[in-house]
Amino acid sequence: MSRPNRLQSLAELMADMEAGRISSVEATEDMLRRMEAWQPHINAFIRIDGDAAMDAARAADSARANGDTRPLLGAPLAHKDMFMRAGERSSGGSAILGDLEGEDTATVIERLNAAGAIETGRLNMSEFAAGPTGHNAHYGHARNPWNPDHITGGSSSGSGASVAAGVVYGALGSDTGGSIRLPAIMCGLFGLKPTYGAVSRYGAMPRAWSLDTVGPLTRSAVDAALIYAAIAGYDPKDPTTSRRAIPDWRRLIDQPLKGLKLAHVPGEPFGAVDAETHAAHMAALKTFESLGCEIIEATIPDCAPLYSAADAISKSEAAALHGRWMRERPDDYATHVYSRTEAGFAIPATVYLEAQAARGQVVRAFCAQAFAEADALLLPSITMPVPSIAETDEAQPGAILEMVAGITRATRPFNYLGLPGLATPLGLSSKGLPLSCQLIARPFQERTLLSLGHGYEQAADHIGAAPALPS
Amino acid sequence: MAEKLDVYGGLKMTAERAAEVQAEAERIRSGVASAITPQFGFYDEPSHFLKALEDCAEPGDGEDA
Repeated sequence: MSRPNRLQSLAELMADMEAGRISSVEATEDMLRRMEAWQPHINAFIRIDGDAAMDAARAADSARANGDTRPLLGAPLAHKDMFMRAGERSSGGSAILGDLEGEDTATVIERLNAAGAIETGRLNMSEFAAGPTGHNAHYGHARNPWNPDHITGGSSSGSGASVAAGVVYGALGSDTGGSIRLPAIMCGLFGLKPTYGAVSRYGAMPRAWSLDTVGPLTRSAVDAALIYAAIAGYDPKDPTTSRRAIPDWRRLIDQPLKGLKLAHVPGEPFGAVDAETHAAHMAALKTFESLGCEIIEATIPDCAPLYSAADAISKSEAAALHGRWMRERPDDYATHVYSRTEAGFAIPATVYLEAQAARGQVVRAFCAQAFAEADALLLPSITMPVPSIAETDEAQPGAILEMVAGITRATRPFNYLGLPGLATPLGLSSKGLPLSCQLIARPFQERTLLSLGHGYEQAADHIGAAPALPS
Repeated sequence: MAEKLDVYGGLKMTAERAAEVQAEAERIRSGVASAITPQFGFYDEPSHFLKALEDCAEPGDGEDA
């Protein structure tokens, strides 16, 4: 299929490098050139490390010439600025964390380094990973490459903006209530929120440790498989990680779609979605049907209490993490970040513990109902068109809460459930902004999600489309 | 400027804001209480939740179809 004005995927870059058609130095130079052009418009980076990236690219090319075949050798990536590196500073998008030097390196960064990836800088994010819009009072808002007047989604805002603009080949984000999926959704990308326990959080900045997950934002489902295979799996430094084996990335996308039961859920489980998103979901279901999937209907339990339970856990844990700084350095927080965390101090311990204690029985009940017949669910990701920056101006605490609840209504329940989700791009709206859905599966069934994503991307002609550089 | 109270062991907020925070916490509490009721038993989280995730996965998920 001919796809003009399309950005190269990470998988395609790796194939080109393996075949000697391009070097890591050439690819990295190209990324740095593009970054220079895009950064003033999208503010995706907090810091650009051009010299270090070029040194790493030269080393990667030298290693490849000597027979090194690591899966991400020389791939120019960048990540949300919240992963610790020994002896380096990571801001967490805040005015506080940048004072602290990392004592060790995050496992996901170590694993990407071991796979040969290189980094071109540190990506912008919502302050302390708190906020679904991508607003940041300290480093400036990241802006959506499809229309810089619109939000990127957050909290992995720079990850979404940079990958969509084609200034990196992939990026890590974190997801506590939707923070991988929302920027993927709003920037037209795939975003994989792994099963809780599938990917180590060691060395990642916590927002709410019972809900936090780490995963990739990419232009292709194959790219997500490449990065997920590199970072997932048991880590003795994170005792919540599963000992379940992680397949090679090629196996993560090869599950046959013929006969796979993909369910849609009638009745607007997260409220009414806008008409264009609904039409895009119906078209996506037809595409999946053409790929051999059996399209069925499923019902799911009411997700509103799951949202509240996630909220209780998220706010309580965030308040515990930030209590000292909120008391001693309140002026170092943006008002909306500070106010979002305050309620955590007022939630009774029993409510937090009830939400935690019920979690196992709730996920068992959800899976028994939702996946009684279905292998995966196709669900709304957001119920509104991608908002503008002006529409999400966070002036009043009350208004913030309403807006946050609206944006995260469909994503946050799955952090409580711990289930894997794949934000999947479905093309552009009449206003030129991304449309999307999220695919949800049983625990540790990332392979089903990525195989569905890969099947869809082979059939859809919009995947990897390049936004125009603003004049 | 409205006087700020010392609440929650050192947080400073106006009485109006303290009421908003209490109202939000109550909204969350009632949302949880509407449907989330743990059974009587041991809950040494996160281990019980992690076991539930493993139990809900199909055998071989993440590996062979």
